Amino acid sequence: MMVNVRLFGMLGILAKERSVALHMAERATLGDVLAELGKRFGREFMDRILRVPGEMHSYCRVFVNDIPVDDLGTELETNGSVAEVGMILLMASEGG
Amino acid sequence: MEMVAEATQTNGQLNDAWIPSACSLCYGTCSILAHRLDGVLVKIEGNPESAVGKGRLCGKGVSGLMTHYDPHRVRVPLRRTNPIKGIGIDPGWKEISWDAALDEIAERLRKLREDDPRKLFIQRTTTVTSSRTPIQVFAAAFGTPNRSSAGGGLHCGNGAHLISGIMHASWSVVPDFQYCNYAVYFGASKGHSAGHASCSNMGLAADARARGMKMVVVDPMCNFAAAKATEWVPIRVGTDAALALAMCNVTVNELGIYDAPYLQAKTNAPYLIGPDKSYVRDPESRKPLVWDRVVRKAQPYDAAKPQEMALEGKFEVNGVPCEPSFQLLKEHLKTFTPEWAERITTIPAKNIRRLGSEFAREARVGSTIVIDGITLPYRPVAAIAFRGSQGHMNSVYDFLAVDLLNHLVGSADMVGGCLGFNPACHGHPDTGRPHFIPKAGPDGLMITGIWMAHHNPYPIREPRMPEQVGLQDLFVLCQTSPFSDSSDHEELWDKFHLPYRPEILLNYGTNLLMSIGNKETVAKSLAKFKFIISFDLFLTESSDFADIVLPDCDYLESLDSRPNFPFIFNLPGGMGEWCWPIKQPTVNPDGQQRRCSDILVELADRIGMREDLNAAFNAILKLEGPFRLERERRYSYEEVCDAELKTNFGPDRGLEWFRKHGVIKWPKKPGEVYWRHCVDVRVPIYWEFLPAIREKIAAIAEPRGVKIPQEYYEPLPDWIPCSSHVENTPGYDLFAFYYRDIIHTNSFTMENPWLDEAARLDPYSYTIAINAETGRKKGLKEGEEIWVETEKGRRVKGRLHLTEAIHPEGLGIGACAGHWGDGMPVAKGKGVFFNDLLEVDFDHVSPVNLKGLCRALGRRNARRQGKGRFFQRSLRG
Repeated sequence: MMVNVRLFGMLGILAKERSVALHMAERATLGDVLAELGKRFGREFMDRILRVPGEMHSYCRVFVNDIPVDDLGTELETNGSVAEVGMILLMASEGG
Repeated sequence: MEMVAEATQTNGQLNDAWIPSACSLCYGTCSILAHRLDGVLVKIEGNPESAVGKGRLCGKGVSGLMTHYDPHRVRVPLRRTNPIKGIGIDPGWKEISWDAALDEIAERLRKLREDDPRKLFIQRTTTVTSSRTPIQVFAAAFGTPNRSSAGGGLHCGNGAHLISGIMHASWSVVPDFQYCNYAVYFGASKGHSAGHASCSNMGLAADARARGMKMVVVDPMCNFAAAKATEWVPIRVGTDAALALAMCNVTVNELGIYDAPYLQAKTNAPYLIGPDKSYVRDPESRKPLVWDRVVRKAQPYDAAKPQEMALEGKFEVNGVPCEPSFQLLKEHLKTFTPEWAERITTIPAKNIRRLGSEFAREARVGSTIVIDGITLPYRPVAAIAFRGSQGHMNSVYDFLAVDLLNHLVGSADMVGGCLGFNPACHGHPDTGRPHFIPKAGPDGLMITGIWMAHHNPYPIREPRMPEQVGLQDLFVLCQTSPFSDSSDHEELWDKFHLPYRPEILLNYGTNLLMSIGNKETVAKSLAKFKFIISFDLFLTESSDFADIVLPDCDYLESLDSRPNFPFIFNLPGGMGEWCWPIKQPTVNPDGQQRRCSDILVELADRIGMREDLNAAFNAILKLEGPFRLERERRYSYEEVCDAELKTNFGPDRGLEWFRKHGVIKWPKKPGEVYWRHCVDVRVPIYWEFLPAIREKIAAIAEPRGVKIPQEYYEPLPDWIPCSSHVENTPGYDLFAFYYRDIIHTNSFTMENPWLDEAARLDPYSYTIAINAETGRKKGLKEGEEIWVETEKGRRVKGRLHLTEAIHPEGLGIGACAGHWGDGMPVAKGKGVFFNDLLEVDFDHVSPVNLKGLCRALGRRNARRQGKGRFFQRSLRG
């Protein structure tokens, strides 16, 4: 299956690519997609996304076909012929 | 500028309208009605239709008109012409057009983003809650992790937020006023015209006192809270943890009162702890083990029935000796006898024993109550704390010690007890939104259902080499940080090889020079920025360091779809109503002012990050379905607000509906308010993760010369003296502390003529308060001007007020006053600039949450000036 990954904010700048097209096996999961991104963009990139292996930081937001997903085991469904994945980091502090 | 609100109530005249909106004179953000007559705002009242304030409005709120119509507001964009920056240096402002301003800003930001987006530092005031979302969105879209609040968060309750988050899934805590019978306040002003849900809490607290709730206020000063208390307990500054720990000891060890079923089911009290202070874990699942008293063996915590878990005893599991964490806590508490605490706090041991006993007995452990047909535990006692008691290096233990009282008697988020502000919401009946409930995370401990930012307090992040200028990614238990402005920031950044330096500061409404620490230190850090953009209502002392000042709209000219969301911040706790108000423009600006939210959208477009901005809006506002923003389309902020409201409340309740109605509300359910009884989560009375976090931080920091002290990272709370408690330089014999004056908000409201007048009439607002007897012993007289000096030689001057209403060793300074700039002429020269006494460096903050270099703890002593006198009576230049 085809997966288009859009990297927003810091992720796009780190990766130096804002849109990544991936060929994934059928029934690929979000975790599989992240693993593929890790191969492509390296450990520093993945450290921004994963708190520990298998779990994303609470400030990493991932949308699959515009639906928020935080379980890495979620199987991707294609929206037509392509699954669209969007990722953004919301990392910053707050006070008050 | 969009059309301002139409009339909602008329008396027959065309231009007579009462417009529902939200206050921004403090972050309480109470709902208001603004009365506009022939285009002029003539009055502001509380909105009785809203649960946020319930029609009440404090003195600050009603005086908002005077800020709005202040002739000294910035009305045009300004560009500095003088490249030299410093305190007292004229920026040489010249008026420029919005286009010219935005062209220059966009070009600089675009280049910076291409270079390294982390070089942008964004700062905002917490006073205007409506700035939170647009700035969070802009930061996420831009790609910078460097965003801070209220000048490094020094008005902020960092320790309170961390522990309220981990223990209550909320930003702060408050007594369940409707049912509480006994509340102990440790440096908190919930219900006394300040802070979260201030006006609502005022009414709730007053009703509770009238009903008979005993309110005990532990505070060095008998001011806003203590003056309304049943009992004021004067305490030596910064020693609240010692009192709280002694009260815990009285409760558990002297009286033997604790809520065993609560501790078994809702905390990690039964988790077995080994000699290494860590959980004893199941070899296969790695889950913490508990001792099952029925089967007489260790079981994973989720495999045993809570009532069968041992809380006490010594066991051996797989050859490892271990004890339940409650057993360790119980032993630990024995150290903290009332007699020990008396020596530290100056509170007589018999009073400590009485307070502990009253608290424990009033908890009625084991009792239940029926609310709306649901039987719930009834624990009508609450111990709460906030900024006053934890604004110092020991802030984490301090708040945790206070909160332990609630957990020992099972009153945390139970009826009548200590409530987090609204951590569980099942959503509006029509849509099920917003929806958030705490859930169990690693080791069964609680993860918040919602949080003010996106870095949840638990699970704790893994410490790493920092890439944030505040080092929050190393000191993972902190929220806001002073290290963007500290005197040692370059040294720290060098030590940690920070791969960049901040170059541009985007400031929203914060007067950094006054809100962090001594002005010389902050000025040096501000002067190092290559470019500063500042959205301001007035030219503040910090605006003088800006390169471009953008004239901001005030709250009466602004729009926000979520001024009181998340509900964990400033929606009243307890039973009642969920309530979602909006903020809307009531008049158009009379100059060239534009709203920051609109400008940020425009800047994003000019920088070329529209897609990122829309993605950030979608993520942060959780926009869904047809209301989700399309990737490439340009939206106005008004359209974004409309999308959020429709996402949450349906297509018929968008911005237009809210403009007319102002607020939507629906009843709270007992299962939401008293969620803890219904949700299977635990909280840590034993912070097992702390030593491990310390080890990871130390592994990075100590090879680089930054010592991470062990004693602050033990699993059980302790009282650790601050440097001022062990300071013995002769003559420095008073503990100076700052407190939030309820007449004022941070450094902002001194410019408001009505509030300034009220403060001048008040004997405390603009003075230095010292105990009358102490003053007499020093030969001081009421009303004379004095200098206060720290052992580091930092000094402030002010007018003395002698009073019985302060601890004999205390020196209290109210508000963040003492303006010296010309841009706020009403404020200029009023009050005392306490922060000028404060060092801003690593040695003066908590090594856990980076909190504490200022406010409310006597880290600074006042001493005599001149031979034989404690204070010089004449002014020095």
